[in-house]
Formats: sequence, structure tokens, C-alpha cells
Amino acid sequence: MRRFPIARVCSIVTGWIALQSIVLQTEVRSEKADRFLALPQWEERDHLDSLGAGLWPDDFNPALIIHPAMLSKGENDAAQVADDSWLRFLPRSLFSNRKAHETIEPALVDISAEALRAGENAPGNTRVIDPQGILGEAQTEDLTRFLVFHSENANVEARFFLLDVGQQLPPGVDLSQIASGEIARGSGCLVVYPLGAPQRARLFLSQNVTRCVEANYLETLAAACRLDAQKASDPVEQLQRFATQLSTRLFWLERAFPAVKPEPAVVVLPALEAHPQEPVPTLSEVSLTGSVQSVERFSFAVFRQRWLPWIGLGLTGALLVATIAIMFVRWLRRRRRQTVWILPDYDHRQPMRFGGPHCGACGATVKYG
Amino acid sequence: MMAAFGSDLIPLRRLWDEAHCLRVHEAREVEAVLVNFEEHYPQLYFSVYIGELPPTLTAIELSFLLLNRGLFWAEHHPRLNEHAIALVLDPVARTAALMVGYALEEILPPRVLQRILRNVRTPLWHAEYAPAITSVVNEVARTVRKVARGALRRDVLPPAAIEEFLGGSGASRQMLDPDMEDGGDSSHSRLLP
Repeated sequence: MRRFPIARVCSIVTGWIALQSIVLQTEVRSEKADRFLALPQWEERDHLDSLGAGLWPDDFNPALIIHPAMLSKGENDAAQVADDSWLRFLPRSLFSNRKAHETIEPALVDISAEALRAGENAPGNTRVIDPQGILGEAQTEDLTRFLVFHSENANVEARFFLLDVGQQLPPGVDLSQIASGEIARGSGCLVVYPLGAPQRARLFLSQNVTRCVEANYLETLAAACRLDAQKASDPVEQLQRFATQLSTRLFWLERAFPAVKPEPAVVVLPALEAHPQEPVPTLSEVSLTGSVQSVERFSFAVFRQRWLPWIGLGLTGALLVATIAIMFVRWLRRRRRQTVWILPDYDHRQPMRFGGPHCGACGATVKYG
Repeated sequence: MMAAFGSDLIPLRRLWDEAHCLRVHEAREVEAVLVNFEEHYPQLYFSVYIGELPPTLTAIELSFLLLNRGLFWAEHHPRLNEHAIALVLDPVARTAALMVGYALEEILPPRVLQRILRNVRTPLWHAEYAPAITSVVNEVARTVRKVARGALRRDVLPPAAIEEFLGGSGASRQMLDPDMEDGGDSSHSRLLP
């Protein structure tokens, strides 16, 4: 009879008991986990409530969300045409009812006659005419210094007549008497500048300038000033940029059109004062509605008036030099072709060497291999 | 040496390519260069000999022999052997020799000739014979020009022959003078006096 060893039976029993205890502990832990992490029961009515309580707008309707695959072909094409592919997963109501904010332009008010009269009565050397005190004192001083510096170095001086953002010039106003009529008498320009609205700035130039400069060039100048001012958002910075660009462009104008020079001061004799005076020179306005292309376009006027004569002269000179050089080379070649070279007379009385009557072994030899 | 080779005259050509080292167009180019040299230097004559020399004869000896026994053909201007220049190339012995007559010894001394030959060693080593010959001719012409006197061709040489003058236009003397075909007198031609 076969005998089971007692130790082996004991070890089997002990292992079985340990296995049962592990299984029991695992079941207890899973029960605890199930008890503390119970999943919520999903109900259909809670769906809309949870969406309605979120960040969705009040007029959100989830039924309007249409998957792109469910769209018909016509709708799909229309969606592509509208280029709103990124809106496919958003309700259309969010964007269909949106309306662009209508910018309400404030009604412009004409500047008062007193302010205009104050501008006319301003001294002739006033650069920044601000009868209403719109610009701050420090900014006014800065702009005045800049314009004074410009007038000291340029022939065409610049002056600013400042308006408020909601103001405009009265229709048909005569600006020739602004700053005691000093602008219209010489070569200068006057900028009627509504502070904060550079797009409504108006540029007036004296006839001394407008009769020498092409209108296209002046429109380009004005448009460049307007566009440079619109790059800034601060009204004072806009004004500074406008003035800086205007000064730069006026220097360019002088270079392009050297005929623009200040009128020489004429001493009025007492005898001439009795004669009827000439009509007062007026200012001509230049449109500021030029396009960007006209600003960036190559200035043919400058090219034609400054560089074209020199380029033509240079090309003509180069052509002349090339023609002369070619003729000289051809003459030299023909001359060389017709030239023969005669050696000096040979003295036949030389003694013969090596018995040679014509050659005395005067030579050289090399090995090249 | 002169006694060893006798006293017979050797009729010389401008280019003697006995070794056939030059292609046809190369030979024509070299010939044109030599003709051009003779036109600009009516007193001089340049002869080039390319050939395998016997072991008993070296290139310098052959050039000496050519200059003393050579018979040059003078077309418009008398050309003396004293004004001749001989260039001998031996492609087998890979030797080049350049020799001048008595009249050119002061203009082209051996030192200058040695320099001219030394400058063409590379093209000769590459078997570029035509460029080497052209270079030698041009260098000789440049050296001679320094001591020569320039003159207009019409003052030195006789006018070109009528056939040569009309050759460029494709016309011939007979076309302009039909009486020549009949054996008549050409003086009756209106075009040719």
C-alpha cells in the first residue's frame, strides 16, 4: 500500500487556504470600489439640461448641428463657397444672426468763425495754428520746433491748422488769409488737420508750388502722408507721423522740381502802391485719396527730370566712345594688315663659319621628350 | 660637314611634314601662318621640317644643312638664305632645332632661340605640333618686329596680280577680256587697259 507523505498533504492544504483568502480579499475590494464609484445613470432628459446649463448661448439648438457627412451636395458646396469649413462643427445660429457693428460717423460741425478768424489773425511765422487749443502745449512746441527746423532747411514750408476730430472747414472757406496770408504769398503748404482723423486731413499748396509740380506727384505726396499717419493709433502720434512724412516728401519735391523756389521779396515802392494790386494768390487743395499703388509707384517725374538727361548724356558719350574705339581698332587692324616689316641692310662681308655660306650654325635645340 | 653632304641645292617648301604628324586642317593652318609671316616680312623665309632623322644626323645639323643648301622660292621679293629660318622637329628623337641665317644672328641670337624653343616644349611633349609651330612663328615675328622698320605694303611690294585681285570676286581675266579666248589683243578691252 502506497503511503502519502504527511508534509506534502499539509503543504497542499496550506496553499489552498491561502489562495481562497486572496480571492476573498479581491472580491471585497471590488465591492468597495463599486460601492464608492457608482456610475451615474444616463437619462435622455438630462442631456439638454446639461447643455443648457453650460456656456452655450441662449439660442443654441443642438438640432442645428449637422455633421458634414450628412450634408447634401448643394449645402456642402455652399459651405465651401462661404469658406466656413471651420464652422462645420459649430451651430450656425452663432454666426448667422451676427451683424456687423455699424460705425456711426459723428456729424461733423463746421469750425466756428471766431476760430477761423483767429487763424487768419495769427502772425505770419506761426507754424502750428491751433486757435482752439486742441493740441497740448508740449506737443505744440514739439511740432512747432520741427516745422521751424523744416522751414529753415527747405524752400517749401509747412504749416498745420488743427481742427477737432468732429470739426470740418466750412464749405467755400478761403484759406489764403490764414497766418496773415503768409502761406499764399510764398512757397508753402497748409495742412488742415482734424486731430485723430488723418483721413480727413486736407492739404493746400500755394500756386508757386502747384504750377511747377505735377498734380500726380502732389497726390502721391498727400496719400503718402495720410497712409503713414494711419499706421499709428494715437492721435498725437498720427500728427507727428503726418508732419514727418510731409517734411520728407517736401524735401523730395524740391529735389525733383528745382523750379520750386521761394518768391523773392519784392520791395513795394510807394509809387506802385497806387496801382491796383494783383489778385491775391490762392491756395490749391490736393486730394489725399490716393491709393497705395500710387504711393509706391516709381516716380517717373523724378526720373525724367533729374536722371534721364544724365543717363541720356552718359549713354550718348558711351556710344561715342565705343564707336571711336571700334573705328580705331579697325583702323589699327587694317593698318597692321597693310604693314610690312623691313629689316635693316645686311652686311655680307661677314666671314663664314663652319663652311656655311648662308648660315653659321646660329641656332638652338631642345629635347622635349 | 658641308663637304659631307655635297653641294646640291635642296628645294625647300614652307612646310615639310615627312612624319605626317599634322592633320590636313592643321597643315593648312600652319601653311597659312607661314604665308602670313612671309607677307608681313618680305625679306624672311620660314621653313618647317617634321620628320624622322637618321641616327647619323641630328636636328641642328639638318637645319644647318637646309639653310646652306636650301633653295627658297621668292615670289615678290628676293629672299636670301641669310634671312631664312629653319625649324626642324624630330618626333622620334623628340628633338626640336631652330636656326637662322647670318642676317638674323644679331636679332635672334642663340639665347633668344633657346627661349623660344623652351616655351613650346609642353605642346611638343603633348604632340601638339601645329600650336607649337604657330607659337614659334609668332614669337619670331614679335622679336624681329622690334628692330624692323614698318612700311606700307604698296610702297614695298609690287601690286597684286590681276588674277589674285579678281580671285575674291569670282571673276576671271577671260570674263573681263573675251578677246583673249580668240587670241586677240587684250588691249582692246574696255575694262582692262
